Amino acid sequence: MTAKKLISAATLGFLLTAGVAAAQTTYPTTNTGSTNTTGTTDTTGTTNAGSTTGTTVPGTPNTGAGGDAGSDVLVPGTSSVIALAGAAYLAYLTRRQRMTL
Amino acid sequence: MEHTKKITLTIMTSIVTVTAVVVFGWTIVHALWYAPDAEVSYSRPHMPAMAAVDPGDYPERFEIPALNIDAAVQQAGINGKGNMGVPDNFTDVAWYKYGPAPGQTGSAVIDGHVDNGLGLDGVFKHLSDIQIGDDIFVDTKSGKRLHFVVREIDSYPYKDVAVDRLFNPSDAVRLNLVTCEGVWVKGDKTYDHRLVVYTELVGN
Repeated sequence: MTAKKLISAATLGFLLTAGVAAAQTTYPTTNTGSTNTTGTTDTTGTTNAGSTTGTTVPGTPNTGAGGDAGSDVLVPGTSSVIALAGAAYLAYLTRRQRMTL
Repeated sequence: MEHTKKITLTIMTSIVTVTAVVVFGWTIVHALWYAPDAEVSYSRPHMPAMAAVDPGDYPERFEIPALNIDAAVQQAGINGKGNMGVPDNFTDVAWYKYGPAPGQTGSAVIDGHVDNGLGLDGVFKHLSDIQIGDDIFVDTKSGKRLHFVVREIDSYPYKDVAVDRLFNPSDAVRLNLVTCEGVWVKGDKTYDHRLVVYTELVGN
C-alpha cells in the first residue's frame, strides 16, 4: 500500500471516529411533564413556586440510559479498533526505522 | 521526498491513534459513570426553597436487604426539564431535596438508575423484584436508622405518573422509590414506564 493510500485510510478512520462520536454525544433527557400544586398540568415541566401551598411537584425522573446500549457500544468499539491499528502501525514503523539504522 | 511522506504518514497515524484513544476513553467514562439530567442552577428565580430539614436528618445510606442494595444517598433537585434530578452516577440513589426528608411527615422520594449507557445494571435494576412487606432502611447523617416497609408497588406510563401522590407533602410518613422500567422509547430516550414503590415508616 502506498503512503497516499495509507494517509487516505487514516483520514477516513479519523472522520469515521469523530463522526460517530459526534452522533453519540447527546444523552437522554426527557420531559415527562409535571403537575403543579394548583392542579394544572404544565407540559414544559416548569415548576410553580408561587402555588398556594408553596410546594413544588416536579416531573418524574429519567433513570434509564441503557436503551441505546447497542449504538453506545459502537463508538468505543470502533475507536478501540482504530487506536489498536494505529498503535500497531506506529510500532511497526519504529521497529523498521531501528532496523534501518 | 520519500522521507517527507514517511513523516507525514507517521504524524497522521499518531493523530488518528491519539484521537481514537481519547474518544474511546471519553465514551466509556460517560457510558459507565456519567449520568444525565443535570440539575438546574440554584439561583434560578422559580426554584423552590429547600424544605425545612435539619441537616442531621439528611439521608446518608439506603438499604434494601432483600435486593442486596446498600447505596450512598445523593441530593437531587429539579433538572432543566422540570423533572426530579437523578444521581450523577449509576450506583448511588438520590433524595428529592425540595420535599420532605425520610422520617418527616409527607412523602420523601428517592430515585436511582435502572441501567447505564452500556446497558449494565444500575442500583435499581432489580427494584421490580421487591415485594410488599419488604424492609427498607435509611440511615441519616445524625446516625438515626429509619425503618420503612413496602405497602404498594405501581407501574405508570411515563407520561401519566401520579406525581401528586408520589411527591405528596402532607400524607403519612412515607418514602417513595422511583425508577424506570418497560420498553425503550427511542425518540424520548427513556423507558416507557415508571416503577413506583410506596413505603411507610414503621420504626426508628
